[in-house]
Amino acid sequence: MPEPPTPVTRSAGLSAARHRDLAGRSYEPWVRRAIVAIFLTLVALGLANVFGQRATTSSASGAAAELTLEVPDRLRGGIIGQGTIEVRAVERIAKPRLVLDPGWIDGMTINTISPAAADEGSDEGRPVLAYGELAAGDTLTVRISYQVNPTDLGSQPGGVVLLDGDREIARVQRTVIVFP
Amino acid sequence: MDIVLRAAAVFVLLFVVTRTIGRRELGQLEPFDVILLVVMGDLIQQGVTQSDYSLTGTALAVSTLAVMTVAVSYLSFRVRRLRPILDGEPIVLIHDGRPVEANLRRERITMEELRSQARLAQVLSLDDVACAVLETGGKISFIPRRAG
Repeated sequence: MPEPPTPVTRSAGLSAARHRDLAGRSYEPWVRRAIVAIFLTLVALGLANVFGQRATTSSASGAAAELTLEVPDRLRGGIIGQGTIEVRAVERIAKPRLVLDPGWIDGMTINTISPAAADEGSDEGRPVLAYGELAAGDTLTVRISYQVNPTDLGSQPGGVVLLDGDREIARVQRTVIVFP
Repeated sequence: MDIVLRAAAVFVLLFVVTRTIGRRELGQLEPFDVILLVVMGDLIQQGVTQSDYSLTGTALAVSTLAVMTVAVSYLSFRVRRLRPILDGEPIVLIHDGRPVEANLRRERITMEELRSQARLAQVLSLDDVACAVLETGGKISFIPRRAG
């Protein structure tokens, strides 16, 4: 049972129970600890790459080629990054074409694509990059430098499909998540 | 619209951070703390305005922060029950010349620090203090015993 207010605290506009014995305020340190725990969790999640932007690698193999994609799948508004698409031809690919999912373009500013495609097109709204013939054993490495638009947000497909002409050879599926 | 939402989110984040860090840390800024605050300000600016260098964007962000500051102040003034949440409450650290150990521990204040603050307040001995209070702003006020 808290003591009644003493003259010292009362004349200072304070209550001994409330301001000295902290009656009814025992929850306050726990609220503070809970909020600190949230901050700690955020830091831990950040270190664990939950919010990007460490690149991860995905591969897919077809009869004619192996397709490897190395790009961050977690991004944040405004950051600058690079994605690498590598095609290792097992057999001759006469008309290699890379079809990029919308996540590569929507809400992104593409700074450079190196090497530049010999031809560009569109497949149901998805950009298509066409390159020269690959002989068996050849490797094509395409680097795409981009910046995430600051207003971009949410998730969308960010995979790549490798075609030989219109024939699909390999497909890497990805989902790109953009944090605000 | 985006910049207003970002500024509002940053305001809430900063409010929670300043209420969580502990009032002593905010009431007594060491040179390192000042530098840290400047760095935080720079980080916050990037999150709010991002690549927007326009005067309009600046005006929107500053206006949002100003409106929210006034809103919190008004809420605190009008709604008594919100005051402990928005402003915090004073905590008695010394009562009748005796340190209140539990409260000192809770606010992470050492006896050395308390004595240092007392000296800054022209108080020679803690025995002479009727009441020392950690105010909501982080400063410690010392109320001396009545003479005689």
